[in-house]
Amino acid sequence: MDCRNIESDLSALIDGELPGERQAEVIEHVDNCPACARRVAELQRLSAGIGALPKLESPPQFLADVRRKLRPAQRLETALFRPVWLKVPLEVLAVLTIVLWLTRPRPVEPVLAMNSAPAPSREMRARILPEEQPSDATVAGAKVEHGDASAGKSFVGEIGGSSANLIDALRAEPSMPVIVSGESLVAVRLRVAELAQTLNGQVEAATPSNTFVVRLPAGKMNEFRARLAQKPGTMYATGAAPAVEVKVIVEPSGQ
Amino acid sequence: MASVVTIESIAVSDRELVARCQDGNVAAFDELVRRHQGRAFNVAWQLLRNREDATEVAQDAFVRIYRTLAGFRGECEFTTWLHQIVVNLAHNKHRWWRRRGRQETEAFDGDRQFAAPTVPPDMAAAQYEFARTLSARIAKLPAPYREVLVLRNVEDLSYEEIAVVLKCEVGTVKSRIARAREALRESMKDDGLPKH
Repeated sequence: MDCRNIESDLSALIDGELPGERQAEVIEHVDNCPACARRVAELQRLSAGIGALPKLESPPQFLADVRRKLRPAQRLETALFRPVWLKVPLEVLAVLTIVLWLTRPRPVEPVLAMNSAPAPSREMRARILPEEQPSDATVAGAKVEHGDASAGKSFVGEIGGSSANLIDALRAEPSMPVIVSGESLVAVRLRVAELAQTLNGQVEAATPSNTFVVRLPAGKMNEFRARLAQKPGTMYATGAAPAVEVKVIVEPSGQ
Repeated sequence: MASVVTIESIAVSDRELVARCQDGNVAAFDELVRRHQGRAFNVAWQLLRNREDATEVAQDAFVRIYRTLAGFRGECEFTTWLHQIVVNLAHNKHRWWRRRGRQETEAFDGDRQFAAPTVPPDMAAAQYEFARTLSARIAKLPAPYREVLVLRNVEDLSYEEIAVVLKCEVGTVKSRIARAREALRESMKDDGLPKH
């Protein structure tokens, strides 16, 4: 056995960490090798010396300091230790609440989202109808996209608002076929009614109270949508938070 | 009354105290701290050789234990878990020192261990001087060497337990301990090792 190759074995020998057979071999070598025997003796003295080093006392206020550091956590003590069957559902509920809050519908400030049911797909919304209205029409600060108006499917407009407003309007589907924002319910109804009357249509109140049904001759529906989009200055209080949001459902007169 | 508490604390195992903690018993956590604060502090002190930093590391170890106790499933002994956290926090402290350009030796206050003006009555003068020199030499070893020597010779952990604490193979522990002892033996040559 080569002395140079058993350095780690000598160390493990004094720790009693060598497997039986290997231990017997190393002990036999050490018994017959004065250099290794001396080394083992030195390692033993070092190890014993380390183990016998005086220990420091931990500070007397140790536990009090730990408690102090834990104080903010202890308010959550029950949350930390309560049974898993209660803890997990509560954590899930908390996460759901946060997600719902983050994805909540926000005020649709000057936004016009319009469709006559059924709810259009996003692809449908993206389709442009050049014969109905030039794409990206139109009024200062306005972006208007028209869907398949001939099928009466979709109309999404964002006037003076940001893309976030448009996204909000999209998210609101299908419960908000048309959203008109304004300073009051009456003002919005008057404005919608004024436009409807010029096209031989009429506005009817519906349930819930912030919902109107605009009935128009079948051939006038696209025109109504186009003119609605072209009159943002009268329909929307641009730059100010709308006081109300009113649903407007557009239907043919005969329906 | 105090003796009753002591008897109770001896009778209850760490495992039982951990279970009580998990049921929300804060007194059981206090008992765990009382029982093991000396161990945590001394390991931290041996690794850092700075009393303030060692106190902070040892206390933070218990804070971490408290906050993660609910997830502790007893895969290892409580003390092994405690060692693991103390060693990790000491690593972090070393990194913190390095980021701020602080030399480890600047942080050492090794002589605090031997701050007593006189030789302890149960220790011969030569032994005392040997221990003092040995402590200073250990302080100058690289941190990985210090760790294994402290865990083996001060805390009396087996190679397998050390491997769990350091998250490495038993073979790595074996060779690292051997190298650490050899480095220490070399550094002590000038001072001479006591014959007994």
